[in-house]
Amino acid sequence: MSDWDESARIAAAKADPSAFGAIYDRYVDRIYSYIYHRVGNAHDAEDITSRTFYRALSHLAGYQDKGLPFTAWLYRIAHNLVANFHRDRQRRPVIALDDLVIRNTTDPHPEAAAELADQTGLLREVIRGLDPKRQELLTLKFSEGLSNAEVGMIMGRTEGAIKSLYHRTLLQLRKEMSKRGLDLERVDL
Amino acid sequence: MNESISSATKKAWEGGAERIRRLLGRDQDPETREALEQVVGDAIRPVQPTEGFRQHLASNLSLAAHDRITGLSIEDTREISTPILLATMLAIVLGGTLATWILVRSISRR
Repeated sequence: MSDWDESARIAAAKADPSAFGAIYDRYVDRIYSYIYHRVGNAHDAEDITSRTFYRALSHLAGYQDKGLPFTAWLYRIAHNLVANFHRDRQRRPVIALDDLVIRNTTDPHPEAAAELADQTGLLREVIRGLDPKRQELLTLKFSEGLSNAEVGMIMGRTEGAIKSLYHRTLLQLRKEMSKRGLDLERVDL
Repeated sequence: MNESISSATKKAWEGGAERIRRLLGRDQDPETREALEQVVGDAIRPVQPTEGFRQHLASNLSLAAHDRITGLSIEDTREISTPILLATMLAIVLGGTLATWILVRSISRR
């Protein structure tokens, strides 16, 4: 969408809150996806996504463009709400049943598909066992497809620090996968 | 004797160094890293909200935006804990009663 002028849209929404709908339409899928992978189920993801956009709408007047993409601001709101969610619940999210049906597979054998879903579910569980910062990094990189520089802007770190954290995260992930008996050969793509 | 200790130390050092080299080599192996990234990418691929949820929230935000225009403000609604609410109400009632009692007492003493 090349005709998207973010600054103009934000200015319009500040002047007239009804223009916020266009911003919502553009970012709701990305924010939902980010939250979903941080909380692990659709119900809580919907609740926190709603809160994120309500908060964005009510605080939009105070938003200042500091050279960061607008999404960085939205992700910060979502991040804070997710952090509150985990603090309130004081628990690690469990794997939700809907995790098992996200993955599309063309495999005609149900046993193979079930095994694949199990492995993917286990891997998600391993990822959710990581430090929240590392989970956030992986979600932003893989679910949102952001570069190290963009992730750095959102997480308030330098690109180099993100690169280093990413490297350490992959090493830890591999170690945790081995502990659970998941190896790269078994997790078939 | 010294020679054998030196030889054993050297051998242990070389063995350790080789293990570290192998570990580093494995960790930096581009194919392994790529495979790991593919697996992780597959596990946390983007997901989309349901169309029903998307439309419902869009509609609610539209109403909230309208309320903001007309001066009403709908903020992020966080549930207030019932015990906190009751305690606050009780504190207000007790405070009011105490203030009234002090006022009445001070008037009656004059």
